[in-house]
Amino acid sequence: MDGKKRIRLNRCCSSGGGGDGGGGGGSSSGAYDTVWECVIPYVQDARDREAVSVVCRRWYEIDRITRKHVTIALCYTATPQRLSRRFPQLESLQLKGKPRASMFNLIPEDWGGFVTPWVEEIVRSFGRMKVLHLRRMIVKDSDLELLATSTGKVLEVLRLDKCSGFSTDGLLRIGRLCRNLRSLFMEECSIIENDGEWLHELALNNTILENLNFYMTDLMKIASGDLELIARRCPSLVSMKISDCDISDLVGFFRAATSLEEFGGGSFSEPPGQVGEGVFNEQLERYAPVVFPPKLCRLGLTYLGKAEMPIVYPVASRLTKLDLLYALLDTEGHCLLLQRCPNLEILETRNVIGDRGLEVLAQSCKSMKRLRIERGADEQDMEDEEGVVSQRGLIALAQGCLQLEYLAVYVSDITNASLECMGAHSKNLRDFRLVLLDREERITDLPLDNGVRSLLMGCHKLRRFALYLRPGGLTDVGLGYIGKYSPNVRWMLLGYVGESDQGLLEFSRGCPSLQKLEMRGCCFSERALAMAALQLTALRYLWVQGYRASGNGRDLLTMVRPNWNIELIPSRQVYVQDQDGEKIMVEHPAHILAYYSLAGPRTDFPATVKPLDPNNFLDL
Amino acid sequence: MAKSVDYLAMENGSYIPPRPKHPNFQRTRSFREIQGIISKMNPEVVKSVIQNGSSSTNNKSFVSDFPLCDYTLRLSCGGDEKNGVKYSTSPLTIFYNGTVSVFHVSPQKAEDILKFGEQAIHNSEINSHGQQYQYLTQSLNDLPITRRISLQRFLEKRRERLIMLSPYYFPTNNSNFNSSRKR
Repeated sequence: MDGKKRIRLNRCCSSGGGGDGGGGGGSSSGAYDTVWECVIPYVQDARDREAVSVVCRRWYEIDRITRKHVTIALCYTATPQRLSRRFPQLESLQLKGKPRASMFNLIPEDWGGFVTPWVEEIVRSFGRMKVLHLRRMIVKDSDLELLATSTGKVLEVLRLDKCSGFSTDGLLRIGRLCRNLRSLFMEECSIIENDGEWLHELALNNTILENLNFYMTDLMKIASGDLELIARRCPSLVSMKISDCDISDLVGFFRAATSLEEFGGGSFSEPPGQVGEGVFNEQLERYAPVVFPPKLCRLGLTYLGKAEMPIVYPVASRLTKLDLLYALLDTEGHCLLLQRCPNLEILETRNVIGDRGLEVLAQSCKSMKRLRIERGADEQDMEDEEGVVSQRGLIALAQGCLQLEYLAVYVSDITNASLECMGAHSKNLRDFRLVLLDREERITDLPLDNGVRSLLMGCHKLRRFALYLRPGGLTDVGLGYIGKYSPNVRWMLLGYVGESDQGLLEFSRGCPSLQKLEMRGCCFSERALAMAALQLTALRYLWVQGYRASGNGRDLLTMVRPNWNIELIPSRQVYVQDQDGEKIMVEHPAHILAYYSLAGPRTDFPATVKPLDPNNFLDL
Repeated sequence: MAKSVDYLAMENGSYIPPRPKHPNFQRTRSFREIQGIISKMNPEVVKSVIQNGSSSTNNKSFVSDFPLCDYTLRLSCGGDEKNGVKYSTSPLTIFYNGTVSVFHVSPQKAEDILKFGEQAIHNSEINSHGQQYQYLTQSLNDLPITRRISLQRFLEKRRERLIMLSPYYFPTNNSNFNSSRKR
């Protein structure tokens, strides 16, 4: 809402004698109240609701009673009780726990993000909770048990995204008791597998399932018969993403799942012996009976190789989303497949796609909206020689795919010109993430100051931005450009950028919308980090690993303020098994995590996480 | 330029080295600190020294009036230990500015020193930002770009698949891939 409208509405409310008088006062104010009570529930966007709630007391109340969904970006920023007092009629809740860095193995497993207090509050106070979305949280079987027994009849959507701490026993309770479950999502969860009973229970008890996802879990006791049973009993099944299960065992499933639009996972057996003409035909024979359902348009097949690729051809022209992250295609394979997918909007793959694959993509897939290019294997013999992405691929992409909204890419080489090209063409870009790999010693064109500036100036819709470079990749001037030219960016990840504290301070004078900042491997001192945190006006969350420490965190005191929690994960030595099964010691440098919270400091710190307590410094 | 190193832990002994003149020298826990020192040395010299040093039987370390490094530097001498297992070491002799120093290091660490020396040529060519830059290059070694867990697991599984299919593979009690090999 713009400023002028808000003033007019304010006057309306105050003339009706604000407060909780309800419809009391003059009849004109009563009519206005009724109108707003009818209108406001249709306002669903979170930021609009935020604006609504600060207009006046009456509107705050209406928003409070009618708010349906809340996202809590970090579960430690508020207490469950505060949530239930403020929004008692909530039907949908999203909670996030561990920092993003946990997806890269950087955060201790026991860091926190326990869902138990939230589940207890849901059971106690939120009788209408239909949708629960938990991301990077620790979920126990007892939590699932509690949810299933208390909210089983109401729960429609349970999304456990990269969660850990539970077993198939907890899933068994969900499968048995949540008869209204439309969507069960467990992608990338760490699940202790006792048996495959949970899937069988789900198949027996549910007829309305639309969405089942246990993709990228290590569940192995999956019976293809149970999957087929679900397909037969749930006519609304639209999306199924599973763990490893040979595709040739799913012929019956695909035949039964007539409404299926999305499939991910499965696996292909490796062709025995040398790959040659005869083996190709053998593989095709094995998988030829697989016929994908008629509406299938989103597909990802694990271990898909060149020999099996032809089974995708019949549906390729229909595909809007293709996941090749865990496929075994080389650059040529990508080219052959992508040129058959003119309607592709979303592609996820590894950098084996290469510059040549990106050129084919730019020519063939004009509707491309989201492109994610992950980092493949480092060893030369494991990936295609051609499988590197550089400025050549980026330029082709920018010029060919003008609808691009999201790009995340690991590049081996980069130039300012390619970033300028993106700034000139990619006008729809909302999310841009670039990581410069560290394998090549010489990069064609560093620093990237001018390219980054052009990109930011050209892509004015940008809301999320990540730049991960190396020493010399971006000077202090370039870092200043990021601050100056990113008016709408809410989230940033910066790695190895800038040269000195000056750069960070200049950066922090800009970024007016920056709410969440993650930094890694930067040369900034604690003092500069603290000052930057104070200068960034919209900042509510800061994560840093790799910085110039002052020894005991003393310099961080600069940013001590009310409702601002500061935590440290001191440097650790972690023992891991490398690929040969040998134990090696990995150094984990210290992290700083700071965030606004209405809940005060955490009360559930593990040994690896330490709060920064100003009182500890009083004696020094 | 007088710097000192207490590589014999002689702080409490009779010899007290002069104070360092470079306060910015960062003390980190890894052997990589040597990078800063080696960066000022000619790598050809380091190479020839290592060749000479491997045939040396001299086990004593010399401490002169002009020792080499910051006195807070701790070099891991006397071999590497990993989980109580010692790795064999050879003497590494460094001649610098009229001083001779001998360290007992494992072949791996000697390799590391050589690599730092070579890197130093590149670093010194573009290094015009002094200590801050040095910190960056140090932390680059300590903070490698990590992979997403999901990708990591996939690449490991792929490698295992290839091993299983090699002609020399001997099946152990590895039930991981039963499901993917269902007929």
